[in-house]
Amino acid sequence: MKSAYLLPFKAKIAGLVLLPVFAVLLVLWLKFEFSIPWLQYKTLPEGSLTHLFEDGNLTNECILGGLLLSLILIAFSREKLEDERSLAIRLQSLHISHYINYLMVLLWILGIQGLSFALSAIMIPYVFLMVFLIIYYIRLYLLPSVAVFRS
Amino acid sequence: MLYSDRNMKNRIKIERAILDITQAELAVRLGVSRQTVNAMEAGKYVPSTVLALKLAAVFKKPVEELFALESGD
Repeated sequence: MKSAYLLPFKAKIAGLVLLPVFAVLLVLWLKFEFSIPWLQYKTLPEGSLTHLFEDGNLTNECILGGLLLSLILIAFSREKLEDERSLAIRLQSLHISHYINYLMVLLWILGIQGLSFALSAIMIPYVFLMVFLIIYYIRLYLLPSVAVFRS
Repeated sequence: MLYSDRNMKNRIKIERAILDITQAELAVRLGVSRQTVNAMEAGKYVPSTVLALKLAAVFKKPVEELFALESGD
């Protein structure tokens, strides 16, 4: 069966290789806050509005970008044998993870105030993709006895 | 409308036993995963019309002989 809008299976392999690399880099960055010298860039002059938020280095941006990219590659690429049941499970998992995501955003809106909210909001797409992947793979391989509904 | 295992029964397991083929062999013939064949046999997944017609072709039986609505549907 043809599945539209999905990346080829090789993209999943690439994502599975990249994910642990960027996950380890993120943990190391959170612990040591290191910066890669060749990712340095020239910041705007002191006193400008954006200067407050710039650290003049793209290390953390590259790590977060790589992590998001690897999650996207895993989440939105075909299975080795993608059939109509896996597509149905994919759709249901997306549906459930959307509900969870919105609930989480609602809790964040109510529970986190100020600049912390903006910083924690960065996590939303990551959590969404991770929740989707967990639900999808549990249903696909670990819970074959759970009924799959098609609309 | 949602379709579930609760309102459809099938004879896939019986027909597969008659042909004496494994779930994996049937999956290859249908172009689906073994888990999908298992889920269909267990009534946990109701296949699409295309897949139902493929099953009918493999078993050389009409679709309505392979699938039936349960009483009350």
